[in-house]
Amino acid sequence: MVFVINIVSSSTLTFTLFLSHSLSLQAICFLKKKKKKITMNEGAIGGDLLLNYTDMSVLERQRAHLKYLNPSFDSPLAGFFADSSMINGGEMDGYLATAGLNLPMIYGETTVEGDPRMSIPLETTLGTGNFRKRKFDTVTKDCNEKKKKMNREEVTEGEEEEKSKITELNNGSPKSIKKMKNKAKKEENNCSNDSSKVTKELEKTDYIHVRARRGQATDSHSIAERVRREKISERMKFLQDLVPGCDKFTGKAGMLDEIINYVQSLQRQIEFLSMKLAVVNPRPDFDMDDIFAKEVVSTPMTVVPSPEMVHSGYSHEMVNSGYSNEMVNSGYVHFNPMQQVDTSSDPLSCFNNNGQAPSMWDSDVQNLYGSLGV
Amino acid sequence: MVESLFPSIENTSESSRRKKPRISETAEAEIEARRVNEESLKRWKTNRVQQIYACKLVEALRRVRQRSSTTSNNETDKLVSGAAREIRDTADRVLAASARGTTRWSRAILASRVRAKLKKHRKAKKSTGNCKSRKGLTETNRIKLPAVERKLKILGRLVPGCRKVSVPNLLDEATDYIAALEMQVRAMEALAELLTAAAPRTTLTGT
Repeated sequence: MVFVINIVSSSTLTFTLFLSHSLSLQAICFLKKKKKKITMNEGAIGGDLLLNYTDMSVLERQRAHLKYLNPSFDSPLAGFFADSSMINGGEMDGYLATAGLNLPMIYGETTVEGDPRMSIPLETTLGTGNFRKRKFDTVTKDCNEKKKKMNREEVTEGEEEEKSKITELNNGSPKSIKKMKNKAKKEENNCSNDSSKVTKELEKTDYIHVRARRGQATDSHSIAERVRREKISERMKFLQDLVPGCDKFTGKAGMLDEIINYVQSLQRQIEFLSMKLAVVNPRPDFDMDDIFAKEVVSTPMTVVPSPEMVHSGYSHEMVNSGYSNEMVNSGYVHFNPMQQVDTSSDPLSCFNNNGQAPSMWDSDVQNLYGSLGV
Repeated sequence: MVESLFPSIENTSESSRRKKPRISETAEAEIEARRVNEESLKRWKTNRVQQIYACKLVEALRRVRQRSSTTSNNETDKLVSGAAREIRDTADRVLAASARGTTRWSRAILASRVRAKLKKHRKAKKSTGNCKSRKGLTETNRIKLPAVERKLKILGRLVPGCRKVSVPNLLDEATDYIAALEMQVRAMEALAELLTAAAPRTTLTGT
Protein backbone atom coordinates (compact mmCIF):
# COMPACT_ATOMS: atom_id res chain seq x y z
CA MET A 1 0.00 0.00 0.00
CA VAL A 2 1.08 3.45 -0.68
CA PHE A 3 0.47 4.54 2.83
CA VAL A 4 3.12 2.30 4.04
CA ILE A 5 5.77 4.10 2.14
CA ASN A 6 7.92 5.99 4.46
CA ILE A 7 8.91 9.49 3.74
CA VAL A 8 12.42 8.91 4.94
CA SER A 9 13.09 6.88 1.93
CA SER A 10 11.27 9.31 -0.25
CA SER A 11 14.11 9.91 -2.60
CA THR A 12 14.48 6.27 -3.36
CA LEU A 13 10.77 6.06 -3.53
CA THR A 14 10.61 8.61 -6.27
CA PHE A 15 13.01 6.65 -8.38
CA THR A 16 11.12 3.49 -7.98
CA LEU A 17 7.89 5.21 -8.67
CA PHE A 18 9.03 6.66 -11.90
CA LEU A 19 8.75 3.29 -13.39
CA SER A 20 5.04 3.29 -13.56
CA HIS A 21 2.79 6.18 -14.31
CA SER A 22 0.08 5.40 -11.88
CA LEU A 23 2.39 4.60 -9.06
CA SER A 24 4.24 7.81 -9.53
CA LEU A 25 1.08 9.78 -9.43
CA GLN A 26 0.10 8.24 -6.22
CA ALA A 27 3.49 8.92 -4.85
CA ILE A 28 3.29 12.51 -5.77
CA CYS A 29 0.02 12.85 -4.09
CA PHE A 30 1.18 10.95 -1.14
CA LEU A 31 4.36 12.90 -0.79
CA LYS A 32 2.57 16.11 -1.11
CA LYS A 33 0.25 15.00 1.55
CA LYS A 34 3.06 14.14 3.79
CA LYS A 35 4.40 17.59 3.35
CA LYS A 36 1.11 19.03 4.15
CA LYS A 37 0.60 17.16 7.30
CA ILE A 38 -0.50 20.26 9.04
CA THR A 39 -3.20 21.09 6.64
CA MET A 40 -4.43 17.63 6.03
CA ASN A 41 -6.04 15.09 8.15
CA GLU A 42 -5.08 11.55 7.68
CA GLY A 43 -8.51 10.36 6.89
CA ALA A 44 -8.71 12.42 3.82
CA ILE A 45 -5.52 11.15 2.38
CA GLY A 46 -6.91 8.06 0.91
CA GLY A 47 -9.75 9.81 -0.70
CA ASP A 48 -7.53 12.52 -1.94
CA LEU A 49 -5.12 10.13 -3.31
CA LEU A 50 -7.72 8.42 -5.29
CA LEU A 51 -9.23 11.70 -6.22
CA ASN A 52 -6.00 13.13 -7.36
CA TYR A 53 -5.35 10.08 -9.28
CA THR A 54 -8.63 10.27 -11.03
CA ASP A 55 -8.13 13.94 -11.41
CA MET A 56 -5.16 13.53 -13.55
CA SER A 57 -7.10 12.68 -16.62
CA VAL A 58 -9.62 15.28 -15.68
CA LEU A 59 -6.79 17.66 -15.01
CA GLU A 60 -5.63 17.61 -18.51
CA ARG A 61 -9.11 18.28 -19.72
CA GLN A 62 -9.42 21.11 -17.32
CA ARG A 63 -6.15 22.55 -18.25
CA ALA A 64 -7.10 22.44 -21.84
CA HIS A 65 -10.34 24.15 -21.05
CA LEU A 66 -8.60 26.76 -19.01
CA LYS A 67 -6.21 27.44 -21.75
CA TYR A 68 -9.15 27.93 -23.99
CA LEU A 69 -10.62 30.40 -21.60
CA ASN A 70 -7.45 32.14 -20.81
CA PRO A 71 -4.49 31.28 -22.91
CA SER A 72 -2.03 33.09 -20.74
CA PHE A 73 -3.27 31.37 -17.70
CA ASP A 74 -1.38 28.59 -16.10
CA SER A 75 -3.26 25.71 -14.80
CA PRO A 76 -3.78 25.98 -11.11
CA LEU A 77 -3.48 22.32 -10.81
CA ALA A 78 -0.21 22.41 -12.59
CA GLY A 79 0.84 25.17 -10.33
CA PHE A 80 -0.42 23.22 -7.45
CA PHE A 81 1.60 20.27 -8.35
CA ALA A 82 4.56 22.37 -9.04
CA ASP A 83 4.26 24.14 -5.76
CA SER A 84 3.91 20.99 -3.90
CA SER A 85 7.02 19.84 -5.54
CA MET A 86 8.61 23.12 -4.62
CA ILE A 87 7.50 22.65 -1.10
CA ASN A 88 8.80 19.21 -1.16
CA GLY A 89 11.92 20.35 -2.82
CA GLY A 90 13.53 21.21 0.41
CA GLU A 91 13.73 17.67 1.35
CA MET A 92 14.01 16.04 -1.97
CA ASP A 93 16.39 17.97 -4.02
CA GLY A 94 16.36 16.04 -7.12
CA TYR A 95 12.67 15.65 -7.30
CA LEU A 96 11.93 17.91 -10.14
CA ALA A 97 15.03 17.04 -11.98
CA THR A 98 14.36 13.41 -11.74
CA ALA A 99 10.78 13.73 -12.70
CA GLY A 100 10.66 11.51 -15.63
CA LEU A 101 6.95 11.42 -15.55
CA ASN A 102 4.72 11.70 -18.46
CA LEU A 103 3.45 14.99 -17.24
CA PRO A 104 6.31 17.24 -18.07
CA MET A 105 4.17 20.28 -18.59
CA ILE A 106 2.79 20.18 -15.15
CA TYR A 107 6.07 20.10 -13.45
CA GLY A 108 7.53 22.60 -15.75
CA GLU A 109 5.13 25.23 -14.60
CA THR A 110 6.01 26.99 -11.46
CA THR A 111 3.63 29.56 -10.25
CA VAL A 112 4.18 31.19 -6.96
CA GLU A 113 1.22 30.60 -4.82
CA GLY A 114 0.54 30.77 -1.17
CA ASP A 115 -0.02 27.93 1.13
CA PRO A 116 -3.72 28.44 1.68
CA ARG A 117 -4.32 28.05 -1.96
CA MET A 118 -2.24 25.01 -2.06
CA SER A 119 -3.95 23.31 0.74
CA ILE A 120 -7.42 23.90 -0.47
CA PRO A 121 -7.47 21.46 -3.32
CA LEU A 122 -6.16 18.84 -1.04
CA GLU A 123 -8.74 19.48 1.55
CA THR A 124 -11.71 19.64 -0.65
CA THR A 125 -12.75 16.41 -2.09
CA LEU A 126 -14.92 17.86 -4.70
CA GLY A 127 -12.09 18.46 -7.01
CA THR A 128 -12.86 19.65 -10.40
CA GLY A 129 -14.38 23.05 -10.42
CA ASN A 130 -12.78 24.32 -7.28
CA PHE A 131 -9.44 25.45 -8.52
CA ARG A 132 -10.69 27.42 -11.38
CA LYS A 133 -13.42 28.90 -9.35
CA ARG A 134 -10.99 30.38 -6.95
CA LYS A 135 -8.81 31.58 -9.68
CA PHE A 136 -11.48 33.38 -11.56
CA ASP A 137 -13.76 34.74 -9.01
CA THR A 138 -11.40 37.14 -7.45
CA VAL A 139 -12.25 40.65 -8.38
CA THR A 140 -15.29 41.58 -6.42
CA LYS A 141 -16.71 44.57 -4.77
CA ASP A 142 -16.19 44.19 -1.14
CA CYS A 143 -12.95 42.89 0.15
CA ASN A 144 -14.28 41.26 3.23
CA GLU A 145 -17.16 39.71 1.49
CA LYS A 146 -14.84 38.53 -1.14
CA LYS A 147 -12.66 36.75 1.34
CA LYS A 148 -15.62 35.02 2.82
CA LYS A 149 -16.84 34.08 -0.53
CA MET A 150 -13.49 32.80 -1.50
CA ASN A 151 -13.63 30.41 1.37
CA ARG A 152 -17.12 29.38 0.54
CA GLU A 153 -16.71 29.13 -3.13
CA GLU A 154 -14.54 26.13 -3.09
CA VAL A 155 -17.54 23.96 -2.88
CA THR A 156 -19.63 24.34 -5.97
CA GLU A 157 -19.85 26.49 -9.04
CA GLY A 158 -19.23 24.90 -12.34
CA GLU A 159 -17.17 26.08 -15.19
CA GLU A 160 -20.10 27.29 -17.15
CA GLU A 161 -21.01 29.82 -14.55
CA GLU A 162 -17.61 31.35 -14.58
CA LYS A 163 -17.56 31.33 -18.27
CA SER A 164 -20.84 33.14 -18.42
CA LYS A 165 -19.65 35.69 -15.95
CA ILE A 166 -16.56 36.41 -17.87
CA THR A 167 -18.32 36.63 -21.15
CA GLU A 168 -20.92 38.84 -19.66
CA LEU A 169 -18.30 41.19 -18.42
CA ASN A 170 -16.46 41.08 -21.64
CA ASN A 171 -19.55 42.04 -23.49
CA GLY A 172 -19.54 45.02 -21.27
CA SER A 173 -22.35 46.77 -19.58
CA PRO A 174 -22.17 50.48 -19.80
CA LYS A 175 -22.28 51.00 -16.15
CA SER A 176 -20.02 48.51 -14.52
CA ILE A 177 -17.49 49.46 -11.98
CA LYS A 178 -14.04 48.05 -11.59
CA LYS A 179 -12.48 47.31 -8.28
CA MET A 180 -9.11 45.81 -7.82
CA LYS A 181 -8.71 43.89 -4.65
CA ASN A 182 -5.23 43.15 -3.55
CA LYS A 183 -5.80 42.32 0.01
CA ALA A 184 -4.92 38.72 0.32
CA LYS A 185 -2.04 36.88 -1.22
CA LYS A 186 -4.60 34.51 -2.58
CA GLU A 187 -6.28 37.26 -4.43
CA GLU A 188 -3.09 38.58 -5.84
CA ASN A 189 -2.12 35.25 -7.13
CA ASN A 190 -5.47 34.69 -8.58
CA CYS A 191 -5.80 38.13 -9.98
CA SER A 192 -2.44 38.15 -11.62
CA ASN A 193 -3.25 35.66 -14.27
CA ASP A 194 -6.86 35.55 -15.17
CA SER A 195 -8.13 38.95 -14.16
CA SER A 196 -5.28 40.71 -15.86
CA LYS A 197 -6.54 39.57 -19.16
CA VAL A 198 -10.09 40.53 -18.39
CA THR A 199 -9.21 43.87 -16.93
CA LYS A 200 -7.02 44.75 -19.84
CA GLU A 201 -9.98 44.49 -22.07
CA LEU A 202 -12.13 46.52 -19.77
CA GLU A 203 -9.58 49.19 -19.13
CA LYS A 204 -9.81 50.39 -22.64
CA THR A 205 -13.17 51.98 -22.12
CA ASP A 206 -13.75 54.91 -19.88
CA TYR A 207 -16.38 53.15 -17.91
CA ILE A 208 -15.88 51.88 -14.47
CA HIS A 209 -16.21 48.15 -14.33
CA VAL A 210 -17.43 45.79 -11.71
CA ARG A 211 -17.52 42.18 -11.35
CA ALA A 212 -20.65 40.72 -9.96
CA ARG A 213 -20.35 39.00 -6.68
CA ARG A 214 -21.36 35.46 -6.24
CA GLY A 215 -25.03 34.96 -5.70
CA GLN A 216 -25.95 38.39 -6.94
CA ALA A 217 -27.53 39.51 -10.12
CA THR A 218 -25.17 40.36 -12.87
CA ASP A 219 -27.63 42.66 -14.48
CA SER A 220 -26.16 45.99 -15.36
CA HIS A 221 -28.98 47.78 -13.62
CA SER A 222 -28.54 45.97 -10.39
CA ILE A 223 -24.83 46.47 -10.51
CA ALA A 224 -25.28 50.17 -11.02
CA GLU A 225 -27.80 50.27 -8.28
CA ARG A 226 -25.50 48.46 -5.96
CA VAL A 227 -22.77 50.94 -6.71
CA ARG A 228 -25.09 53.81 -5.98
CA ARG A 229 -26.17 52.25 -2.73
CA GLU A 230 -22.61 51.74 -1.67
CA LYS A 231 -21.74 55.32 -2.43
CA ILE A 232 -24.58 56.49 -0.29
CA SER A 233 -23.74 54.16 2.52
CA GLU A 234 -20.16 55.29 2.47
CA ARG A 235 -21.18 58.88 2.89
CA MET A 236 -23.56 57.94 5.62
CA LYS A 237 -20.65 56.37 7.40
CA PHE A 238 -18.81 59.64 7.30
CA LEU A 239 -21.79 61.42 8.69
CA GLN A 240 -22.10 58.81 11.33
CA ASP A 241 -18.61 59.54 12.49
CA LEU A 242 -19.24 63.22 12.49
CA VAL A 243 -22.51 63.28 14.33
CA PRO A 244 -22.25 62.20 17.93
CA GLY A 245 -24.67 59.57 18.98
CA CYS A 246 -25.33 58.35 15.50
CA ASP A 247 -23.74 55.00 15.97
CA LYS A 248 -26.71 53.71 17.88
CA PHE A 249 -28.75 53.73 14.75
CA THR A 250 -28.17 51.29 12.00
CA GLY A 251 -30.81 52.31 9.54
CA LYS A 252 -30.68 55.20 7.18
CA ALA A 253 -33.86 56.73 8.52
CA GLY A 254 -32.70 56.77 12.12
CA MET A 255 -29.34 58.15 11.22
CA LEU A 256 -30.88 60.80 9.05
CA ASP A 257 -33.09 61.77 11.93
CA GLU A 258 -30.08 62.19 14.14
CA ILE A 259 -28.26 64.15 11.51
CA ILE A 260 -31.16 66.47 10.97
CA ASN A 261 -31.53 67.03 14.68
CA TYR A 262 -27.87 67.70 14.99
CA VAL A 263 -27.81 70.23 12.18
CA GLN A 264 -30.83 71.97 13.65
CA SER A 265 -29.25 72.07 17.06
CA LEU A 266 -26.05 73.48 15.64
CA GLN A 267 -27.98 76.17 13.86
CA ARG A 268 -29.89 76.98 17.01
CA GLN A 269 -26.66 77.19 18.92
CA ILE A 270 -25.32 79.63 16.41
CA GLU A 271 -28.43 81.74 16.71
CA PHE A 272 -28.13 81.68 20.42
CA LEU A 273 -24.49 82.59 20.36
CA SER A 274 -25.12 85.41 17.97
CA MET A 275 -27.81 86.66 20.30
CA LYS A 276 -25.35 86.47 23.11
CA LEU A 277 -22.79 88.33 21.12
CA ALA A 278 -25.34 90.96 20.30
CA VAL A 279 -26.16 91.41 23.94
CA VAL A 280 -22.59 91.45 25.00
CA ASN A 281 -21.51 93.51 22.10
CA PRO A 282 -20.16 96.70 23.44
CA ARG A 283 -20.62 100.02 21.78
CA PRO A 284 -17.90 101.28 19.50
CA ASP A 285 -16.41 103.52 22.10
CA PHE A 286 -15.85 100.53 24.23
CA ASP A 287 -12.27 99.61 24.22
CA MET A 288 -11.85 96.07 23.14
CA ASP A 289 -8.12 96.22 22.84
CA ASP A 290 -7.26 95.90 26.41
CA ILE A 291 -9.87 93.29 26.96
CA PHE A 292 -8.34 91.04 24.44
CA ALA A 293 -4.85 91.72 25.51
CA LYS A 294 -5.42 91.02 29.13
CA GLU A 295 -7.92 88.31 28.70
CA VAL A 296 -5.72 86.35 26.46
CA VAL A 297 -2.65 86.61 28.53
CA SER A 298 -3.97 86.10 31.97
CA THR A 299 -6.95 83.88 32.00
CA PRO A 300 -7.09 80.24 31.17
CA MET A 301 -10.35 79.80 29.44
CA THR A 302 -12.11 76.68 30.31
CA VAL A 303 -14.28 76.15 27.36
CA VAL A 304 -16.01 72.87 27.32
CA PRO A 305 -15.22 70.82 24.26
CA SER A 306 -17.71 71.33 21.55
CA PRO A 307 -19.21 67.86 21.38
CA GLU A 308 -20.14 68.02 25.00
CA MET A 309 -21.50 71.45 24.55
CA VAL A 310 -23.45 70.40 21.61
CA HIS A 311 -24.81 67.49 23.50
CA SER A 312 -25.97 69.65 26.31
CA GLY A 313 -27.46 72.19 23.98
CA TYR A 314 -28.92 69.49 21.89
CA SER A 315 -30.55 67.62 24.65
CA HIS A 316 -31.79 70.59 26.58
CA GLU A 317 -32.79 72.79 23.71
CA MET A 318 -32.23 75.90 25.61
CA VAL A 319 -32.24 78.59 23.05
CA ASN A 320 -34.57 81.30 24.13
CA SER A 321 -34.55 84.80 22.92
CA GLY A 322 -34.80 86.35 26.32
CA TYR A 323 -31.60 85.20 27.87
CA SER A 324 -29.82 87.64 30.03
CA ASN A 325 -26.16 87.61 30.75
CA GLU A 326 -26.46 85.93 34.09
CA MET A 327 -28.48 83.09 32.74
CA VAL A 328 -26.08 82.73 29.94
CA ASN A 329 -23.15 82.49 32.21
CA SER A 330 -24.64 80.02 34.55
CA GLY A 331 -26.65 77.80 32.33
CA TYR A 332 -25.36 77.19 28.94
CA VAL A 333 -21.66 77.61 28.80
CA HIS A 334 -19.72 75.61 31.27
CA PHE A 335 -16.96 77.98 31.94
CA ASN A 336 -16.16 79.99 35.00
CA PRO A 337 -16.07 83.66 34.30
CA MET A 338 -15.46 84.41 37.91
CA GLN A 339 -11.96 83.26 37.48
CA GLN A 340 -11.45 85.82 34.85
CA VAL A 341 -12.99 88.60 36.81
CA ASP A 342 -10.37 88.29 39.48
CA THR A 343 -7.35 88.36 37.35
CA SER A 344 -8.33 91.10 35.03
CA SER A 345 -9.27 93.73 37.45
CA ASP A 346 -6.34 95.82 36.42
CA PRO A 347 -7.22 96.23 32.80
CA LEU A 348 -10.62 97.21 34.00
CA SER A 349 -9.28 100.49 35.08
CA CYS A 350 -7.66 100.96 31.77
CA PHE A 351 -10.64 101.13 29.65
CA ASN A 352 -12.57 103.65 31.49
CA ASN A 353 -10.13 106.34 30.81
CA ASN A 354 -8.95 105.99 27.35
CA GLY A 355 -10.68 106.05 24.08
CA GLN A 356 -7.94 104.57 22.14
CA ALA A 357 -8.21 104.53 18.42
CA PRO A 358 -8.75 101.15 16.89
CA SER A 359 -5.20 101.16 15.69
CA MET A 360 -4.34 98.61 18.28
CA TRP A 361 -7.11 96.44 17.09
CA ASP A 362 -4.97 94.35 14.86
CA SER A 363 -2.54 93.44 17.53
CA ASP A 364 -5.38 92.41 19.73
CA VAL A 365 -6.89 90.45 16.98
CA GLN A 366 -3.64 88.59 16.95
CA ASN A 367 -4.09 88.02 20.60
CA LEU A 368 -7.47 86.66 19.89
CA TYR A 369 -5.88 84.20 17.57
CA GLY A 370 -3.74 83.19 20.40
CA SER A 371 -6.71 82.54 22.55
CA LEU A 372 -8.60 80.67 19.95
CA GLY A 373 -6.04 78.78 18.13
CA VAL A 374 -2.61 78.68 19.69
CA MET B 1 -8.71 77.13 26.25
CA VAL B 2 -10.14 76.78 22.86
CA GLU B 3 -6.91 75.64 21.41
CA SER B 4 -6.73 72.81 23.83
CA LEU B 5 -10.23 72.01 22.78
CA PHE B 6 -9.43 71.69 19.15
CA PRO B 7 -6.61 69.17 19.35
CA SER B 8 -8.64 66.81 21.44
CA ILE B 9 -11.40 66.80 18.94
CA GLU B 10 -8.94 66.46 16.16
CA ASN B 11 -7.31 63.46 17.74
CA THR B 12 -10.47 61.56 18.38
CA SER B 13 -11.87 62.19 14.98
CA GLU B 14 -8.61 61.45 13.29
CA SER B 15 -8.25 58.18 15.09
CA SER B 16 -11.65 57.20 13.90
CA ARG B 17 -10.76 58.33 10.44
CA ARG B 18 -7.61 56.28 10.48
CA LYS B 19 -9.76 53.22 10.64
CA LYS B 20 -11.25 53.99 7.31
CA PRO B 21 -8.20 53.60 5.09
CA ARG B 22 -7.96 50.03 6.24
CA ILE B 23 -11.14 49.24 4.45
CA SER B 24 -10.44 48.66 0.85
CA GLU B 25 -10.30 51.72 -1.25
CA THR B 26 -10.85 50.43 -4.61
CA ALA B 27 -12.87 52.24 -7.19
CA GLU B 28 -11.53 55.58 -8.16
CA ALA B 29 -14.84 57.24 -7.52
CA GLU B 30 -15.03 55.92 -4.03
CA ILE B 31 -11.47 56.85 -3.36
CA GLU B 32 -12.23 60.33 -4.53
CA ALA B 33 -15.27 60.61 -2.35
CA ARG B 34 -13.51 59.34 0.67
CA ARG B 35 -10.57 61.60 0.13
CA VAL B 36 -12.79 64.58 -0.38
CA ASN B 37 -14.73 63.82 2.74
CA GLU B 38 -11.67 63.31 4.84
CA GLU B 39 -10.11 66.42 3.51
CA SER B 40 -13.17 68.44 4.13
CA LEU B 41 -13.47 67.15 7.65
CA LYS B 42 -9.84 67.83 8.36
CA ARG B 43 -10.13 71.22 6.81
CA TRP B 44 -12.55 72.51 9.36
CA LYS B 45 -10.53 71.25 12.21
CA THR B 46 -7.18 72.72 11.46
CA ASN B 47 -6.06 75.51 13.69
CA ARG B 48 -5.21 77.66 10.77
CA VAL B 49 -8.74 77.64 9.49
CA GLN B 50 -10.00 78.44 12.91
CA GLN B 51 -7.67 81.33 13.26
CA ILE B 52 -8.63 82.70 9.92
CA TYR B 53 -12.26 82.40 10.79
CA ALA B 54 -11.82 83.99 14.17
CA CYS B 55 -9.98 86.90 12.72
CA LYS B 56 -12.49 87.54 10.02
CA LEU B 57 -15.34 87.12 12.41
CA VAL B 58 -13.98 89.64 14.79
CA GLU B 59 -13.44 92.15 12.06
CA ALA B 60 -16.87 91.63 10.63
CA LEU B 61 -18.44 91.98 14.01
CA ARG B 62 -16.60 95.17 14.58
CA ARG B 63 -17.92 96.53 11.35
CA VAL B 64 -21.39 95.46 12.29
CA ARG B 65 -21.03 97.12 15.61
CA GLN B 66 -19.96 100.32 13.99
CA ARG B 67 -22.85 100.19 11.65
CA SER B 68 -25.35 99.47 14.36
CA SER B 69 -24.00 102.19 16.55
CA THR B 70 -25.34 104.72 14.14
CA THR B 71 -28.87 103.45 14.61
CA SER B 72 -30.87 104.61 17.56
CA ASN B 73 -31.21 102.37 20.57
CA ASN B 74 -34.85 102.64 21.38
CA GLU B 75 -36.02 99.18 22.11
CA THR B 76 -33.48 96.78 23.40
CA ASP B 77 -35.29 93.65 22.38
CA LYS B 78 -35.70 94.65 18.84
CA LEU B 79 -32.16 95.79 18.71
CA VAL B 80 -30.91 92.61 20.19
CA SER B 81 -32.83 90.38 17.86
CA GLY B 82 -31.96 92.49 14.87
CA ALA B 83 -28.36 92.62 15.87
CA ALA B 84 -28.37 88.92 16.56
CA ARG B 85 -29.67 88.17 13.15
CA GLU B 86 -27.10 90.42 11.64
CA ILE B 87 -24.34 88.85 13.61
CA ARG B 88 -25.49 85.44 12.64
CA ASP B 89 -25.61 86.37 9.00
CA THR B 90 -22.20 87.90 9.27
CA ALA B 91 -20.85 84.81 10.91
CA ASP B 92 -22.37 82.61 8.25
CA ARG B 93 -20.91 84.72 5.54
CA VAL B 94 -17.51 84.62 7.07
CA LEU B 95 -17.81 80.90 7.38
CA ALA B 96 -18.83 80.60 3.78
CA ALA B 97 -15.95 82.80 2.77
CA SER B 98 -13.48 80.60 4.56
CA ALA B 99 -14.82 77.68 2.62
CA ARG B 100 -13.33 79.33 -0.45
CA GLY B 101 -16.24 78.47 -2.63
CA THR B 102 -15.55 74.80 -2.89
CA THR B 103 -18.82 73.74 -1.42
CA ARG B 104 -22.30 74.34 -2.61
CA TRP B 105 -23.69 75.65 0.63
CA SER B 106 -20.96 78.24 0.97
CA ARG B 107 -21.66 79.52 -2.49
CA ALA B 108 -25.35 79.61 -1.72
CA ILE B 109 -24.82 81.65 1.42
CA LEU B 110 -22.66 84.17 -0.35
CA ALA B 111 -24.99 84.33 -3.28
CA SER B 112 -28.04 84.78 -1.15
CA ARG B 113 -26.59 87.89 0.36
CA VAL B 114 -26.06 89.41 -3.04
CA ARG B 115 -29.54 88.45 -4.04
CA ALA B 116 -31.01 89.96 -0.92
CA LYS B 117 -29.13 93.16 -1.43
CA LEU B 118 -30.38 93.55 -4.96
CA LYS B 119 -33.96 92.72 -4.40
CA LYS B 120 -34.50 93.81 -0.80
CA HIS B 121 -37.73 92.91 0.89
CA ARG B 122 -40.13 92.41 -1.97
CA LYS B 123 -38.48 89.29 -3.20
CA ALA B 124 -38.30 87.88 0.30
CA LYS B 125 -41.99 88.35 0.84
CA LYS B 126 -42.82 86.82 -2.48
CA SER B 127 -40.62 83.83 -1.92
CA THR B 128 -42.02 83.09 1.50
CA GLY B 129 -45.50 83.29 0.10
CA ASN B 130 -44.59 80.90 -2.64
CA CYS B 131 -42.96 78.54 -0.29
CA LYS B 132 -46.04 78.24 1.82
CA SER B 133 -48.32 77.63 -1.09
CA ARG B 134 -45.95 75.12 -2.55
CA LYS B 135 -45.75 73.27 0.69
CA GLY B 136 -49.49 73.00 0.93
CA LEU B 137 -49.79 71.77 -2.61
CA THR B 138 -47.23 69.09 -2.27
CA GLU B 139 -48.76 67.77 0.86
CA THR B 140 -52.23 67.52 -0.48
CA ASN B 141 -51.42 66.26 -3.92
CA ARG B 142 -48.73 63.73 -3.29
CA ILE B 143 -48.78 60.65 -1.15
CA LYS B 144 -46.13 60.85 1.52
CA LEU B 145 -42.78 59.86 0.18
CA PRO B 146 -40.86 57.11 1.86
CA ALA B 147 -39.41 58.13 5.17
CA VAL B 148 -35.84 58.21 4.04
CA GLU B 149 -36.57 60.43 1.10
CA ARG B 150 -38.61 62.75 3.25
CA LYS B 151 -35.73 63.11 5.63
CA LEU B 152 -33.34 63.72 2.82
CA LYS B 153 -35.57 66.51 1.66
CA ILE B 154 -35.59 68.02 5.11
CA LEU B 155 -31.85 67.80 5.24
CA GLY B 156 -31.70 69.49 1.90
CA ARG B 157 -33.72 72.33 3.27
CA LEU B 158 -31.47 72.71 6.25
CA VAL B 159 -28.28 72.92 4.31
CA PRO B 160 -28.37 76.17 2.40
CA GLY B 161 -28.54 75.83 -1.32
CA CYS B 162 -29.03 72.11 -1.41
CA ARG B 163 -32.65 71.60 -2.15
CA LYS B 164 -32.36 69.98 -5.51
CA VAL B 165 -29.08 68.26 -5.08
CA SER B 166 -28.56 64.58 -5.68
CA VAL B 167 -28.43 62.30 -2.69
CA PRO B 168 -24.73 61.50 -2.55
CA ASN B 169 -23.83 65.13 -3.14
CA LEU B 170 -26.29 66.18 -0.53
CA LEU B 171 -24.66 63.91 1.97
CA ASP B 172 -21.25 65.28 1.06
CA GLU B 173 -22.47 68.82 1.46
CA ALA B 174 -24.07 67.97 4.75
CA THR B 175 -20.82 66.50 6.00
CA ASP B 176 -18.90 69.60 5.15
CA TYR B 177 -21.62 71.86 6.48
CA ILE B 178 -21.74 70.08 9.80
CA ALA B 179 -17.99 70.30 10.17
CA ALA B 180 -18.09 74.00 9.34
CA LEU B 181 -20.93 74.65 11.72
CA GLU B 182 -19.10 72.95 14.51
CA MET B 183 -16.13 75.17 13.91
CA GLN B 184 -18.34 78.21 13.82
CA VAL B 185 -19.94 77.28 17.09
CA ARG B 186 -16.60 76.81 18.75
CA ALA B 187 -15.27 80.11 17.52
CA MET B 188 -18.35 82.01 18.51
CA GLU B 189 -18.37 80.40 21.88
CA ALA B 190 -14.85 81.43 22.53
CA LEU B 191 -15.53 84.92 21.34
CA ALA B 192 -18.68 85.25 23.37
CA GLU B 193 -16.89 83.99 26.38
CA LEU B 194 -14.22 86.58 25.97
CA LEU B 195 -16.75 89.30 25.66
CA THR B 196 -19.01 88.17 28.45
CA ALA B 197 -16.03 87.96 30.70
CA ALA B 198 -15.23 91.52 29.85
CA ALA B 199 -18.75 92.86 29.86
CA PRO B 200 -19.69 92.49 33.52
CA ARG B 201 -16.64 94.41 34.46
CA THR B 202 -17.52 97.26 32.20
CA THR B 203 -21.05 97.37 33.48
CA LEU B 204 -19.68 97.37 36.95
CA THR B 205 -17.53 100.32 36.22
CA GLY B 206 -20.54 102.04 34.83
CA THR B 207 -19.45 103.01 31.35
